[in-house]
Amino acid sequence: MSAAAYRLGRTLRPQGGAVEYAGLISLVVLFVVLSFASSAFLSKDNMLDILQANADIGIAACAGTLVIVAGGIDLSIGAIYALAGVLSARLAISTGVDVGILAAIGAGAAVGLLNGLVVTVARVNPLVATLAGAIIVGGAAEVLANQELLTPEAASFVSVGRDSIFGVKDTIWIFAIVALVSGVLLSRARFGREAKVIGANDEVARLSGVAVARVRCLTYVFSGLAAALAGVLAVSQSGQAQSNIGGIPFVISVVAAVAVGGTSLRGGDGAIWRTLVGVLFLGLVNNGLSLLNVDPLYYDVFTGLLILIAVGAESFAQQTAARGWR
Amino acid sequence: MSSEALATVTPTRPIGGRALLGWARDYGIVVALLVLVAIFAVATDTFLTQRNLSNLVEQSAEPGLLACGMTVVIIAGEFDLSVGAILGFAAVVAAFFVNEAGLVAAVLAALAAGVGLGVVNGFIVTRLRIPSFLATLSTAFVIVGAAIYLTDGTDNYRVNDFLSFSQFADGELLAVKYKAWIALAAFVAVWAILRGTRFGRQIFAVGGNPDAARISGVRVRLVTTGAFVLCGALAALAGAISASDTGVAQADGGVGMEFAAVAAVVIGGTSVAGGRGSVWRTLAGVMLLAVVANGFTLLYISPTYDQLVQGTIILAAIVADSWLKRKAAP
Repeated sequence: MSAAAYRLGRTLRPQGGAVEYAGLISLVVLFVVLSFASSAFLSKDNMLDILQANADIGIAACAGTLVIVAGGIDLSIGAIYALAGVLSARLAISTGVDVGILAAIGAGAAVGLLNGLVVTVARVNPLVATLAGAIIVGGAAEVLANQELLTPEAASFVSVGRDSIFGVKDTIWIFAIVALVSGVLLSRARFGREAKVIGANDEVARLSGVAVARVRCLTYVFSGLAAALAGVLAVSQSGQAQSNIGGIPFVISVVAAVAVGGTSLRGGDGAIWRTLVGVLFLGLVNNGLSLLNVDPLYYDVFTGLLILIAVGAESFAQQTAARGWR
Repeated sequence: MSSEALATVTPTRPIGGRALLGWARDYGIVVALLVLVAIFAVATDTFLTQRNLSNLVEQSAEPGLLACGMTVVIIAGEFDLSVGAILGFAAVVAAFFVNEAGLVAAVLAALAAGVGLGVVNGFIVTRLRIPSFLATLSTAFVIVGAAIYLTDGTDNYRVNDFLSFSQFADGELLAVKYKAWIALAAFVAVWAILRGTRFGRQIFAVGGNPDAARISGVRVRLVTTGAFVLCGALAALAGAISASDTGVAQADGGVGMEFAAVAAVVIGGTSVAGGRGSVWRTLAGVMLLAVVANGFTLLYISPTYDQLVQGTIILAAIVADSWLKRKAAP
């Protein structure tokens, strides 16, 4: 192997070069382009609007990053989002706001635990396990909503998603807190290190004394909890809940955000800052598309293309880097 | 070693215990289906009528075609979550061509669209090496977008001569609509391909162990792409049927059906790890989901509960399968 090939490998390797910051660079470029393209873009209000509009995706994506780093995937978050939204609205109307919010978040954590148990104890492929979970939970949301549009009007319920602290909406603060907690868990705590080892090679993790099942399970619990929180916030913000909110489009946005940031979907490595980059990038793309008057029918096409480009580039770089070492 | 020698070496296992669990794993789906049929036959007067049974198989045609193609891809060790999108796209293509050039052109154009989209999926998965579930979820969005674009953003496309085009799906043979016969023919054809051709055996080899397959000379990328092409073609056939059946091609009409297809494959007992499975299992899985939905309708249970019940069946099936697999392992 020549020194030049080695250097090329190092440069292109996702852990050490241009590709590592591809998401961040794209974000900065898009930001600059939009600033010039639209006079409305670069204002404090528009920035806060973008954060507010993407807080639910961001909250679920931060927690979802932990699942993906540990080598799993959670396709049930869209259904959990819907269930939590409907459940909190239903209980806020009938019983009480606090009960509703706590029950919804508790339900999210419980579904996450169930997902985790099916994946670890029953050893079902996470894709299939959480897909079954998604169908069940989505069905539960449908039964609970009973084809109604729920409009909880209690001031204390809708205020959660609408009030501000220091001029910034509560939702954004909660997003920031979830991001901080996830970031600390992933890069500063033992939990995160163990999750990375499991994602890289669960057999090695087991042999070196990591409680693989427990850590995996906890990532799903965290993901379910965060998805429920996101659903409650979204309903609180819009003031209405239906069983068709969230769903697969929500899952795609979340997975796209994680992937676009540069966290490997094969597990083993990743970071919360990457996910934040991914969330903001997708948020800017949607903002840009609406500034360019693109029909919202086509927004999803761009999300799909972005995933293909981002993940394709990452895996291309990995292949090139691998060849460089041989 | 000759088979006789093998027989003397292999210890004869007593019936019961592991053997029984293994049998339950292999044929549990058939037993479950028969039990459900028996329950609904007793619980309702209408289940075992000729009209209802025809309905049952006719309604299973489109989900069946999707699940049949999905089986091939899953045996090859991949997922294709774009089949619902391909269905919608192909329906739009079929509706466009039937208006311009007639029935045969419409069906051929739809199939060509399915093959083309299968090639694209295969290329993205094998060359860009994007995990197939994510790659095909992404292409699904792009395909739906393209289909909407073809309808000039109106989201649907109307068939002009509905009366003659509807013959493709709704003409009857032995009191059962063509669409059910088409789906059945597809199942038989795919069964024959998987069991009787080199391509079929290579699909099992690639899904079971891609490295071993590569070393023994299988062109893994080509075979994987072939699986996506077959799956895309079957989804497109379902799309042509849907356009012919309703007279309106809905650009996003198939979205969501991909998950039911995966569910049917998994319930049947085909392993999502790849390398093992069969289309008859999938046929049983499709029929089981259809029988449950049909039985519930006949029992006047609100369709609101459909999804919840379906999900529970799927979860029970996969957990039981995983449990039986470990218990029955020698």
